[in-house]
Amino acid sequence: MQIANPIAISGGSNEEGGEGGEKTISEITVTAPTIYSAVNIANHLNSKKISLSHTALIAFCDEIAKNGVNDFADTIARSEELRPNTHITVVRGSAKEYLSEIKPTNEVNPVQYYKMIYGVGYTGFIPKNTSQKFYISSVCDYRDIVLPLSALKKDNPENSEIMYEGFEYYTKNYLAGDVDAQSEEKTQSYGMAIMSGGKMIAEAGAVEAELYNILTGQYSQSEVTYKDERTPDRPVTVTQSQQKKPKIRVRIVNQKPEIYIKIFLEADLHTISGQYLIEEEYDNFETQAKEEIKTAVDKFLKKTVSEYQSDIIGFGDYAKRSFKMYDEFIEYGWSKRYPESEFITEVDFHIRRSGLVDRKQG
Amino acid sequence: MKWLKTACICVVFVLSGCSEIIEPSDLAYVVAIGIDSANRKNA
Repeated sequence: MQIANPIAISGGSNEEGGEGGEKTISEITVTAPTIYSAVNIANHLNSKKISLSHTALIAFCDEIAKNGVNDFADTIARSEELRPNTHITVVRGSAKEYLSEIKPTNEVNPVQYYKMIYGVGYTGFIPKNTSQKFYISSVCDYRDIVLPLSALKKDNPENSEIMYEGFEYYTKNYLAGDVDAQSEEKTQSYGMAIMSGGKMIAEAGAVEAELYNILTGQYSQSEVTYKDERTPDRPVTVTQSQQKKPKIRVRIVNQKPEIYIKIFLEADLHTISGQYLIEEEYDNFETQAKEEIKTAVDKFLKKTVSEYQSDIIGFGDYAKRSFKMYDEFIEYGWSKRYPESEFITEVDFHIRRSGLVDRKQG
Repeated sequence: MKWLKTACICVVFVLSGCSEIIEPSDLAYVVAIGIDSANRKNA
């Protein structure tokens, strides 16, 4: 357990304020069968009563996640202390080692640090699921869940897949721990753990996590790089945002799910090929980007049915509306039928702002 | 003397309020929980 040190956070009676940094947290490590039995043991080690009411993060090691985490979902839901917006992550490796290396360098308050890492709207490379969604997915029959992947930075990062198809052009599909960044921070959060029936079944990279966020409507804003067919060596980077949630309809045709999904995205131009992407050519770029997003989304959705066989987007929530009674939906067996799904995707993408430079032809 | 009695009560009330702010909480707030398997020790 990582415990806040309020004197280092606020400064106590010191008028200069808190010191911040790694002194704001201390650690207690105990061996126990459940979270609350660990709290009980820790209460005998600490002079103050342990409270979980400000817990911002629960980190499972990948070994626990592969064995199943539904028991923990029950604890999280029952606890009157743990909040519904607590972040949950799967750590590639030891959760203890991960937490030990957390150094909230830019934050005085460690709770704020976790909220910034796992909950902000301007990053797309991790899913934003919290404890409430985690619990619902553990008890419902119509969706599975994904959790953000975290890890310590590896000394020798593995080579990540590079995207060449247009969406996130030349960007690496990173997994946590494999990002070759030079930083004081030794911890990384990229990609997602795919869960099915409460167990972790696969890992997916950062770009796939971004597509997941777009498809579920959790995506808010991030910088996305696209391939421009006329200047393949000069990618175009836009600030992309999702102002409208995707439109999803599910029909059952000949006992097979037919899923229609339309995505709405907007973008502001940031980095373009200064040679010729001018106002008159924005329409061409929009058409290209639509195709690139559609290709990436189709590929990702195909992976959810063929490889993961897990309804992580939550189409089942829409599918159950096709049945008169919930019992009929249960009888249909959504989780077994989902891999037979066929998808119809549509993308609506518009350039909204050109930045401070807008050149016209001629 | 009635006004003096009222004034004294007010002073005590303010001091009591101050002492509550300076006094640290009786709770230790957990910021993050890490859960490892038995082989790695629970955190």
